Amino acid sequence: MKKLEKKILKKVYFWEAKRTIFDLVLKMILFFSSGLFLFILGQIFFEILAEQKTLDLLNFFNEDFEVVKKYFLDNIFILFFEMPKFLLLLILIFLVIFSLVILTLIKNFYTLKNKIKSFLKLIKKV
Amino acid sequence: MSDKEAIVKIKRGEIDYFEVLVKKYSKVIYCYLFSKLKKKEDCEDLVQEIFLSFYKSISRFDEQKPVLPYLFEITKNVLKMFYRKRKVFLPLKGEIIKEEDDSQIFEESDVNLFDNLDRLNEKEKKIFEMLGKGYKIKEIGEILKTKENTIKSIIRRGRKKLKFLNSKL
Repeated sequence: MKKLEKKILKKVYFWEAKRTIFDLVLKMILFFSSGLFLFILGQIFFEILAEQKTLDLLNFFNEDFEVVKKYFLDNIFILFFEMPKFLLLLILIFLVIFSLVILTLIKNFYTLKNKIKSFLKLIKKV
Repeated sequence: MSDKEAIVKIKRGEIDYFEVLVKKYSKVIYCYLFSKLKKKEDCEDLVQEIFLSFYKSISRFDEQKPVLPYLFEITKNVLKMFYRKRKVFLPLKGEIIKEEDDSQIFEESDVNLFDNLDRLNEKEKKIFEMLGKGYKIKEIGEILKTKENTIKSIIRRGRKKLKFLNSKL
């Protein structure tokens, strides 16, 4: 019976290890690739804005509060109008993926830590 | 340690607590399977399969519920699959699945039949001529816009007619 129990546990551990590794690798790939794309696209995005001198619009926040209040909506509209829309959409998509991966990693952090501990215990036993 | 505590810990990732459940229930499941199958190797394989599927579904398992009935439910399904896999399937006989070959419509002795085609009616004659040119029944059916079975019947009838006429000559 002991032999059978060992066989069952071995099978379960093997399956779980395979799943955990696959999950971890997938998340790492998603994390790094989305982070990299986010960085590259962000850089391109800000370069375009700097070239168009769109970022100068933000200087208007240094003005008096009354002026800012009066022209705030106009300036925001111009800022949005001058932004490259497709690039912005891509950045938003990658940002969502990036934050989702981080959130799931944080959420499952303790479970993952416990699993790794259990694997190490088993390796020590063997 | 109770089952509930063990399951909560397993859900938290402490998978070494699965050992508690395995030690507690593997014997019961094994004995049940042995009473059904009477074969040690099969029973061991199935027990492993059952516990693995239990582990796979443990995240969905309500720890307030008892484990044993759930394990028996899995056992029932696994056994069903096992019997299904073991079921003997009889292969179909070759003759049943063999498609009818157009070349087998005529026998070797039918070579002379084609000499007396003028004695057939127009449709029969046309079909026999097309067969002589190497057309298949399906193709003849498509060309003459007639069902395959009808063509076959016409051929059968024509062949009989020609054989009868040949025997008279």
